[in-house]
Amino acid sequence: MRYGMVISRKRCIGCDACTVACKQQNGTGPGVFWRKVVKQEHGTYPTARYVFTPLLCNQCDEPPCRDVCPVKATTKQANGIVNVDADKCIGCRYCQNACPYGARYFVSSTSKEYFPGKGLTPFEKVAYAKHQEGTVGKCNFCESRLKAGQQPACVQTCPANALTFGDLDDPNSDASKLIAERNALPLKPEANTKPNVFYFG
Amino acid sequence: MATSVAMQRASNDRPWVIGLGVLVVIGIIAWIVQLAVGFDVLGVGQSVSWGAYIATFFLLAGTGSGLVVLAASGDLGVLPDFQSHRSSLLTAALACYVAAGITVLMDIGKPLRALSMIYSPNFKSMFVWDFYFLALSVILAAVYLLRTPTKNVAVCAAAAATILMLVEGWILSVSSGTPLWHNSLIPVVFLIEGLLTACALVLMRQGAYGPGSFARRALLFLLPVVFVLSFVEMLAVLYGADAEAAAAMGILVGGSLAPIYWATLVIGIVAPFALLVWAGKAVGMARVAAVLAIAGVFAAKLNLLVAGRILPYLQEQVGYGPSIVEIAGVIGLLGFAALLYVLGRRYLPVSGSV
Repeated sequence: MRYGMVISRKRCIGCDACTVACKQQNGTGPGVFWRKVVKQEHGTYPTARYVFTPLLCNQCDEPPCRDVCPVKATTKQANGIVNVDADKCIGCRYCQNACPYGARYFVSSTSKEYFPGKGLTPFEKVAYAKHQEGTVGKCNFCESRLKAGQQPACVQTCPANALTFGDLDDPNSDASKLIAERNALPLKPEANTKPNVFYFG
Repeated sequence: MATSVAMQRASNDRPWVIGLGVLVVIGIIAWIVQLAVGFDVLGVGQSVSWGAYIATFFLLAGTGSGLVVLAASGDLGVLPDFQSHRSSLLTAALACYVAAGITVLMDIGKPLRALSMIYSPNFKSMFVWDFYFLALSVILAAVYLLRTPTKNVAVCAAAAATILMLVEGWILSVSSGTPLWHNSLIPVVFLIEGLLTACALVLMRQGAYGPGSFARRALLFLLPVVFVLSFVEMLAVLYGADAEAAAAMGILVGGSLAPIYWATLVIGIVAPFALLVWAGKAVGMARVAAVLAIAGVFAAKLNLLVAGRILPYLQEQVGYGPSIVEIAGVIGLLGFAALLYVLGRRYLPVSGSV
């Protein structure tokens, strides 16, 4: 079992629905984006175009964040997900500097509201309780949803069907087939981290 | 008689103790504010996650290590002028090491969990090696200072201190996620900078006489070396294969960080070098040069930390500036190191000669 994701950059419309779904699912605070969509302008008029690149934790097989963690708070699970144990994390942020994809976020506060001066909303009070101030967090492919037999929130939400999730060890999974058919590639392969998020288009 | 000398010394130290104590209180208040409000009161963010505190940590640990090397050089006959200053050098080194340890505690989100590095260490992490070599350096420097010193202790303390300076550089240079830091030159630069700031501290304390005379000559050699290495690194990265590292270096030498970068080279390297050359052994000028050299090393480390993280992967450039709380914290830490030195000189029962 090795969970992975395949992302079609041609299908992605840059709507950030996945970003919002991720924030709703995981209750991350202001400035924390376990998932985000980078928008870049390529080319010049009249052939200029936007390229959208959703970024998230690549759940690498050789995660540098795990190797630099001084207290073994980051582990690679049997299902391929790279997990951060917030109860162990000392908040040194070395992993943030080691991640080639900028996928890790430090929880600087669990009391910062989205609507300044209005206090925490009931949702924020519940959602923020899942995080520990002073520790680092990141995408875990919505592991609680996976355990319930659901897809990650971003995959289920994407209106353009740009995200395909599945077991990359199973050659018959939709994700594995897409990688083979569309010659999908990881970002920054030169970092030798063996990512499990692939892109095409 | 001895009691009267001690009382005289305590009386002379009092203004220093009070002044430095005020700085420490400022630092403590900054830390309390940080613990109460959270890391949002610091200038660091999600991309530039290491800032003034880590630069201070590198400065203090490097300076402490450089001082141990100088003390050992005195006892091993390499720099005989330093032998009679062993206790002063080692007390300062211990003060720097202890303050460096506190600096790291101030910079981590869960300081009480730092002990996890003892019972659950990941030896693949340079951070753990840094922790253990800092601890080892503290122990060896303390043994060297407080027990009758032997050449073996001198060699071991100097070796641990040297490795510590290299490990500090490796913390950055093994970080493949930050291309500007992924550079084998950094540990060498950190080693040289550690020796440089230690010599600058000796020059500050002694003026350009006695061991200060060697410190002055050492600075006249080490400042140009750091200057040349800065250009070697700049050209190697700018024309190297890694586009991300080149972009970050471009911002440092020709972009928004350029004024700080070039000011660091001019004020932190060229100016102290010129002062030492043209002002000869004038005590005041030598001290100004020493202060500028130390400030230059601090700024160079901060520039490196910020430039490396200023361009998040595929995203727009971000910024960093130390907050008031961060600046107050750094002032407190430097004051704490100086206060430890003053108190250490007064109270520590120091050892004799090798």
